[in-house]
Amino acid sequence: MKLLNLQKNILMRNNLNIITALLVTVVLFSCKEDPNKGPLPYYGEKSFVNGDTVDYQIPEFKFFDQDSNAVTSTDLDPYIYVTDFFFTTCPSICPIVKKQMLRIYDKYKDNPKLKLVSHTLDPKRDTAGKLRKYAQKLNVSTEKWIFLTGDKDSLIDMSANYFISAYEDDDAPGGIDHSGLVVLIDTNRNVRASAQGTDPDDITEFLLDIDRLLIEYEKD
Amino acid sequence: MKKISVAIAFFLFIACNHNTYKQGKDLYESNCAQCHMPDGTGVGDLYPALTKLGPNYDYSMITCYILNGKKSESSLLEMVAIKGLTDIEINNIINYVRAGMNGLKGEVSIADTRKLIPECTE
Repeated sequence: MKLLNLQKNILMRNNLNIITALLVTVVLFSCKEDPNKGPLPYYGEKSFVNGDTVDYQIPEFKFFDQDSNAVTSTDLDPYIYVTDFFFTTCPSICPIVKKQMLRIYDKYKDNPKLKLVSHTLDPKRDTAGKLRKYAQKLNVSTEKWIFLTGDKDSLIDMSANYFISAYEDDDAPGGIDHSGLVVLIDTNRNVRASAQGTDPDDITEFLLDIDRLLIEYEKD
Repeated sequence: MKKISVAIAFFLFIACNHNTYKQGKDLYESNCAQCHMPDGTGVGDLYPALTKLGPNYDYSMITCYILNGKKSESSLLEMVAIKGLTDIEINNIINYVRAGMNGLKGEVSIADTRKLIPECTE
């Protein structure tokens, strides 16, 4: 009899566990917002200016493109853009990130609202001419996909502004350690989405994020 | 007992034969996939696709590229030499690229690869 009771107890406890698990799942799913609906979130710390809440904004910048033309943040203001940091001789994560950037390029090739902006972290080797060659080898139009170079410290500082960490490290392949994050910026220079450029599945989600951001501009 | 051993040996033989390109695939993934991509499709013309080499390509030349690296025509990016592979390992990589990625029958023989190694490293 005692044994039976024990069994009953275990059974009941198991049932309770299942019910709890079900409840947790239901709560989790109901809280999770539908990723395909509504506006994208705003990344970064909010600040207060004259009593208003202001979203984090990428600071102004000026770099030089693959044709040695100056490119400023103002030039990019009409566009939303996807950005990453790399260097042409980077042996580790850059090839796969570029492969994923190419997916983004291919999908939005004909959408004039979106640009891609890749920054080099090795301006000494990655001159404008070298970046131009790199773009040619990628078979991409530099109207659509801009390659930026400039002062090394400014480029490294800029990567931090995009929440992409980069720093010089003699032990890292190529002497520079950096993350393969790709970041989506809107026309107000707010950071709206990011993804690991080394993870094709993450980029698949990121493509949906870009679609969601583009919808915001269709309404205008 | 003897019969069982023979049977086991036979099955192992079949199993191993079935995975002729397994070592080549593993070595490809750890040495080549980073630039040529895990599926061999490459990245634009920066890191060339290995899946479209076709039947007329001289696959034995891959031996030299593995041993010496390869400077690209645009001298933009250089393929680095892959160090520390044995002749058999190189041969297995080549035949994985040839059969696994390009779907070609037959293979580059280990004799061909062995013959090329001193020529490549001259």
